[in-house]
Amino acid sequence: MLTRRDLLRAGVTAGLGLGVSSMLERLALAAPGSGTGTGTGRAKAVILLYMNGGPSHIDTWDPKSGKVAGPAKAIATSVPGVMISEHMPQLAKLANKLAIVRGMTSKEGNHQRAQYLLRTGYSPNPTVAHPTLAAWVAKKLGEPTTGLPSSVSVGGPSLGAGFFGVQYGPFVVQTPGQLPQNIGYGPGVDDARFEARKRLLDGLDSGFAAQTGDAKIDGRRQLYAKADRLMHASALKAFDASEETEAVRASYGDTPFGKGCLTAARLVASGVRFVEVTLDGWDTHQDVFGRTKKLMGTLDPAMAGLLQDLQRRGLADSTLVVWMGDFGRTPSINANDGRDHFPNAWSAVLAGGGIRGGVVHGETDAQGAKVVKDAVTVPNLLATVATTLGLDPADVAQSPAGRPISLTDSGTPVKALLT
Amino acid sequence: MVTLAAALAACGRSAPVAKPPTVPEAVVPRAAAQPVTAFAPSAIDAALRQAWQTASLTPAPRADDSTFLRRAYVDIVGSIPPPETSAAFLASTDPDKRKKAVEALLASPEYSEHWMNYWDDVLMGREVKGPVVDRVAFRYWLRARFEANSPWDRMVRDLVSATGQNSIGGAKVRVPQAMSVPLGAQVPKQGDEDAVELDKINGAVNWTLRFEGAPQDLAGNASRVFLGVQIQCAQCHDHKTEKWKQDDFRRFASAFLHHRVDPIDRGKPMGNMKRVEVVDLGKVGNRFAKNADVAPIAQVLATALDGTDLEKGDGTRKALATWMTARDNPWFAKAFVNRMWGHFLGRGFYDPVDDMRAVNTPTMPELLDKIAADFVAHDYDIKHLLRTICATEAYQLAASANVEGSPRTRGEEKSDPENTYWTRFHLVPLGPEELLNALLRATDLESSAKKAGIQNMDALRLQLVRQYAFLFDVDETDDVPDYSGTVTQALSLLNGQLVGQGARAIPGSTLDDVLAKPGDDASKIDQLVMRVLSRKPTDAERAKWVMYVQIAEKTPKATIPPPKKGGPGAGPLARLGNKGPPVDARRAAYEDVMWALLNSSEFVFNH
Repeated sequence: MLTRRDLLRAGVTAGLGLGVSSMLERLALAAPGSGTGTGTGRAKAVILLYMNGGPSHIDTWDPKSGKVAGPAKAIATSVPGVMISEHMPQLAKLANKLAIVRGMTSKEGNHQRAQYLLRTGYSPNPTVAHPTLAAWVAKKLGEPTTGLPSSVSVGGPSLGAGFFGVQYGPFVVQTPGQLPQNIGYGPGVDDARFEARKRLLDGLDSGFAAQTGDAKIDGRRQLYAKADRLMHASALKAFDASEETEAVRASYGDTPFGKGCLTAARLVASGVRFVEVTLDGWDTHQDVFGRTKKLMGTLDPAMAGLLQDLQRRGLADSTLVVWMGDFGRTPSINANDGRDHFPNAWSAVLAGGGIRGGVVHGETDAQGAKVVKDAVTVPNLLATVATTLGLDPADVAQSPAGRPISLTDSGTPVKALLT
Repeated sequence: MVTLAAALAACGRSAPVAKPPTVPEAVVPRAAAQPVTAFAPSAIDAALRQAWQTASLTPAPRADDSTFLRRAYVDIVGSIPPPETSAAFLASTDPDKRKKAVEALLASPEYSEHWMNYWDDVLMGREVKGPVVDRVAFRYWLRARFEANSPWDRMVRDLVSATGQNSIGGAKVRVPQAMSVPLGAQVPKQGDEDAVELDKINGAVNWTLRFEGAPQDLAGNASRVFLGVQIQCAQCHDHKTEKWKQDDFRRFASAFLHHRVDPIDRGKPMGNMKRVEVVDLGKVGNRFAKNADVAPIAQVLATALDGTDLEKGDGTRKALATWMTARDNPWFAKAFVNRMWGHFLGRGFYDPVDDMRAVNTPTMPELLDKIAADFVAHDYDIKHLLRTICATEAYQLAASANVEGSPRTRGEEKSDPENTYWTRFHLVPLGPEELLNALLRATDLESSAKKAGIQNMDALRLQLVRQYAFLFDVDETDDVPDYSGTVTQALSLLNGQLVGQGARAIPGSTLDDVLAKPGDDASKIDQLVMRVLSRKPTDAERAKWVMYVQIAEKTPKATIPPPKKGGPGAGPLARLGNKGPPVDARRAAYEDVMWALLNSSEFVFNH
């Protein structure tokens, strides 16, 4: 049944240039009982494995033969007929869990613009700082009861939360597998002294709040209370991967990225909604084959280890793992044995909560230069992710300038990928 | 970043005498034209009073002197006042002391440092990848302009039509991921060998080069920042409610395609700057016509937003710069005045400051017009404008929303929760540069670092900035009305080294200095509050903290061992870890007070 809210939303999306047919399709998709919208709502958390720099699709998930191919061979996977690079043997075995999206396409061939698009679903526009998908998740799903943040970025800062404000931005962990920076008391401070200091601070801030009568002071005091809760949260140990057995740690591979993936699994187990782990180095203008092989050596055990570990923890069905990067890389090989930026056709991978496993969606031509079947735009990919979380991709927030900004830029979920 | 001069001033020594900056002829201010419209601060006051009366609003009381001085320091030079300056200012009975303090700040070397940081952040944003954009050269160019008080119109003209070489070459100086913490320490000082070299190139071209991959963003940035016109809304398609259509955008953006970038260095030097030269072109650069995203822009004639043909005369970029900065340009002067008003008074006539669209209803647009006319009449003299704003009654008001006589206690009057009419001072959290400067000055950490054997202050400062930069990695257009901070930032102040070490009574620190001086506990508390909050404590505060210290002294506890060297959180200040005597209970109590002062909202906000 169409509610008043649906109609309002219909008006808004129509204003954004979305066709009526796609809107009706979305309404038809509405799943019963998911509450917030049209989503299937199977996933409760997202782990985003972000491949910084733009991985070569041809040398990873979409192998080709002939002139455009590299020296690496393609190998069979657990899904009949589906081949991927030989440098991802563990993931090949898990292909029945994966949805490989080979029809990705976008228009952004510049790193910064593409990274913005991949995280927000929008091309950058200087008038609006769009919230990231992570920020939407943090805002809509709220904070976990464990005292941990909603959104965590492991290994370095991701994109901020845009106009949602920094409180919805990711909590940044500098060193994967270790407790966050500054989480413990400073030099010479113990419990008693920290409490005494807090009382002094409280006196000062009460005075200033009374003097100015400004709500911003309360906002700051609440933030401090939140930091204090995190410092003393029992779930804090989720950041510390050294608790795991040697066997579990080894399964992820002994790399910062592997530690990041293990941390991500632990954080999700403690209620964190969105974790981003970055693997940098994919901008392979030189030596694409050597470097991509090395990166896959890091990626393969880490991502495979993560999928299996989530299974073991009983979290595989409620956690969506997303693998994506800036864009693909050119089929042609340049003079430095590298491949250059290529947003035309590339791959992304989804696995877990709400996603159909053993699927290849979309197809590129023999050169990997053009999507010839089932093209997927970035807004559609993010709409698919949002849908698995039970979020409505057409949900709208007002920008500070008063413009309605939807969760994705008119994205619609790719039904073929959803369970 | 804090300058050496500022650091020295904080130590109570005199700053080195600044050599007169070498300024290219083009930036020497013109002889002031006869002001056409004199518009004194008192006229602004009258207009505001009228508006308050009409809206039945009562202004907050006048802020006290210590609050005013701190505010002026934060806004004009991005730091807090040195304690000696505060003391002298408070003791002075000169009725003109506020004006004189503003004058001294406008003339200080920190002024150009601060505004260099401000504009570098606005125009360049975060780190720009690639070997072509030389951030240091750009910052150097900005600083020279502010040192010379170059008129705003000339500065923008020089930026928009900049040609010449980008860099002197050498290693690319990487800035921390968050460019919001700037690196003043990396900009050569006048007279340095690098400074002499930098004078020969044109750092301004780096702004154009920042947008080399997406020249349509250059057009959007220029119109938003310099004109307050959000033309880039029309980049993708027409909006019914917007004045500007996609064709307008394309024609305007086309003017930003009339240049070429000629390499001086060949190839891609790993980790080094690549020297290039930006050259004017009589037509749209070929490379733009080939770029699918830019081609629709490249195909149209360059036209200003009012329809002026920009492809006539002595070059499109020059014509564009001339049109943008012309005295009769309807947006140029207003956009700058609005931005500066927003910077000093917490909210522009148009809010956000760079959005002067018709749909964005302004507060008192006629007042903005008058101040803008005065700015033009004074030949776009930036210091004149800042002087005017700082002299207004609105800038003198307290931040209080509910003291006696304010709307909340007088039922018959209306309140203005958003404070759109500036009836009280807007509380604004210190920016990253300001907070770091304030922390360094309040704690005198640099002096303790010196005592601990750390010689290279520039390197230490750089390390600190790098370590803390990510904490403030906020978006350029962060317009959230409530207090916004991250847990990471809160943790760094609660437990981090900068505050943790800065609050300690180790040799050279503020606390050590205060404890070493003669005087009773009350006078020590007075000094600490002055050094951190730039004011005297109230009687109640003094009594409470003296009692805290004295009770601690009489309650012998196990001596707190000095912290271990290194360990988790080891960073640039780890060397301070095991310096200093074991802390007795009294010193520990003083450290607690110092810590609370540094963490207080009063310290962290501009108020």
